[in-house]
Amino acid sequence: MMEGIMIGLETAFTPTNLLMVFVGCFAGTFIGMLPGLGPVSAIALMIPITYSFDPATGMILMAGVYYGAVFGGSTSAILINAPGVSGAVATAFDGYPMAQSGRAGKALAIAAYSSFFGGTVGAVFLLIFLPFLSQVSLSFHSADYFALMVFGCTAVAAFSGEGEVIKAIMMTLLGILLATVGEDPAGVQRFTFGIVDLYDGISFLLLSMATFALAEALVVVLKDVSSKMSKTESTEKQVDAGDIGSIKLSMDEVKEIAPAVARSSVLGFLVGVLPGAGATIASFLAYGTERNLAPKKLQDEFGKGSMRGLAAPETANNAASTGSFVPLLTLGIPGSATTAIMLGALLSYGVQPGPRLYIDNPDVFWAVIISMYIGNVILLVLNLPLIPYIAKLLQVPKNYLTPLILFFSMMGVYLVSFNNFDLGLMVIVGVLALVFRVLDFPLAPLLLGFILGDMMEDNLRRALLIWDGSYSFIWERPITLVIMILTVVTLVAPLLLKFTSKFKRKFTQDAS
Amino acid sequence: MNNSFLMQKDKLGSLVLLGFALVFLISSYNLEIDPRYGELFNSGTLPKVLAWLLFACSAHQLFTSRGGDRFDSDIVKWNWPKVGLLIVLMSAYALAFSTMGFMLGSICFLVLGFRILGEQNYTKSILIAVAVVVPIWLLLVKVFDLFLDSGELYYLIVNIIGGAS
Repeated sequence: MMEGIMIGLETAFTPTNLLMVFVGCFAGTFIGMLPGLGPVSAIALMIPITYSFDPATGMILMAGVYYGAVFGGSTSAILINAPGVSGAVATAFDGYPMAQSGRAGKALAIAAYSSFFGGTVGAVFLLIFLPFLSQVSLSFHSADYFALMVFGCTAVAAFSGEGEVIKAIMMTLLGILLATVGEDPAGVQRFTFGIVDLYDGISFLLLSMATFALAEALVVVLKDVSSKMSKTESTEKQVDAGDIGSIKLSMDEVKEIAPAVARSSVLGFLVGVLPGAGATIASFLAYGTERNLAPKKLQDEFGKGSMRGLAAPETANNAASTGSFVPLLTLGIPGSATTAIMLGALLSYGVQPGPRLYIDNPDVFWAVIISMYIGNVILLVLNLPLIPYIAKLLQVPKNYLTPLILFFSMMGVYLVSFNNFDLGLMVIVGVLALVFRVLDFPLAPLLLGFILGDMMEDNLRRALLIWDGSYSFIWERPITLVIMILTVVTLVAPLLLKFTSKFKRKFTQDAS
Repeated sequence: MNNSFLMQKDKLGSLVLLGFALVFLISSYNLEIDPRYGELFNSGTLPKVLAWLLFACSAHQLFTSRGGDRFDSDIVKWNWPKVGLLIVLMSAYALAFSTMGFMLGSICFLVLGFRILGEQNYTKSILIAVAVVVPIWLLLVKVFDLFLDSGELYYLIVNIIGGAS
């Protein structure tokens, strides 16, 4: 492991890669602060730039963007009550009231320190567990991988909210179907409808840019987030983004948030490791846990500017972001939409994530882990003092920003293929993504299905070849069987829980 | 209005997905499969299974769901015209890219985009668009040596100027 850490340090500490972490953190913070745009859009916008880099540098830039965007999302949640990312929604509960009461600087400082601590704990856990998990998953065969891909797809669906499971499953299925467009390994043209430009299939970049960057930008215009916000908050006290007050924390304040930060970092990491759970669930869980654990007097402060209420979701949010790299780097299955995009990027660099990554590309593997930590340090030492200036970027008029985002998204796709057809296809996919967004159908499972679809079919094909065309590997290979059982449990458990809670409620009603 | 089919998000979404399922289903049965690639698993097997699953899920959702969330009355207040215009603009940009080329097409796209979103000062819009597009063009063409289509219009103008001189 020490050797790996040294490789990681060597790769991450080159001037170019350090610059990439810095640029990534800064760009991510800026994009993450814009209402409606989050880490997924930020990373999607960065992919075309990273194509000319070596894989390690590309991943380091994206890891920096990821952390920056998560931090930026919290900044806009605290200053203008507009969480840039869903993981920062719980941050706004107490962060914005703190800012309204003249403690914006303190709120931002708590967010930064908590994020740093959560990210650090996450990075340490990652460092300890990743090599071990990678060793374990080396014994996996194509049959097990096929089962893992199925599990990855269903886990995301199962972690969706109530009533969302079926929608997530449908979107995953559509994603896998879209992945089958183009020429397959047997040379058969599938679903190309005679269009030559579709022979190579739909590009991952096009789909991710259209479904996230483009659709998000259109949703911002459609719902007119900022103008709506200014109308609803006209009666509330506004926060001056340029004047945030002191960012120093007293010893008592540190003592108050310390236990919450410690608990939430562990909780956040564990939740982040689960495929599909992600930063949003982690932050809400941490907020709820801290509220329940707090003494009665402090409990009443939650929602009105509680420091614990701010520190808990911020810590969990960052720890979960780190934890979501575990399934990506060890098994090659993404745990969230962001890591799904990173998986796609890795595949386009020609790097196969999974247990072999640890052996085949140790520089990428270790450099990503080390750069996550560097990213956390940069966010703390550079972004915190720069917050008053970065916050002013929130005042960039939307009528300039949205067309620029649309332009950069379309250019990003064009510059990879140099094909006008892709621009048209991107508009079509973007409009469809907008329709699904408006109808509240989740887009992350679509992307996940698209990325895993190809690998799923390849592994199934290979497994069938090895097992002489028999599907018996599903029950004859123990690892495959266990993963398949887990898949069924993950799918059925939420339905069972829903059923039992309904039954219990009915039983108590009848009894009373 | 609030109870109408068109106001039920889940049903509308399921209808769109049912359409996709049908397209994939019909197309997957029309695939020209090479007979050498086995009966048990060939190029059409996975798409057929997936399309049937999508068909079943979307039909189930369409006919049995209670509609899920409905659009609230705010939907009519959303900026549909602006989004519609932006979509038209993006489509026009995609279609006219080979004619107008990167430079002219992108500047027009940005200026019109700014205008759609409320910017009335054309001078300011043109300056910002030029300040964004020209450095990108210089960076890509002069520094990275990439080919960016100048467009038929550009060559036409060059020919006219050349012919006149």
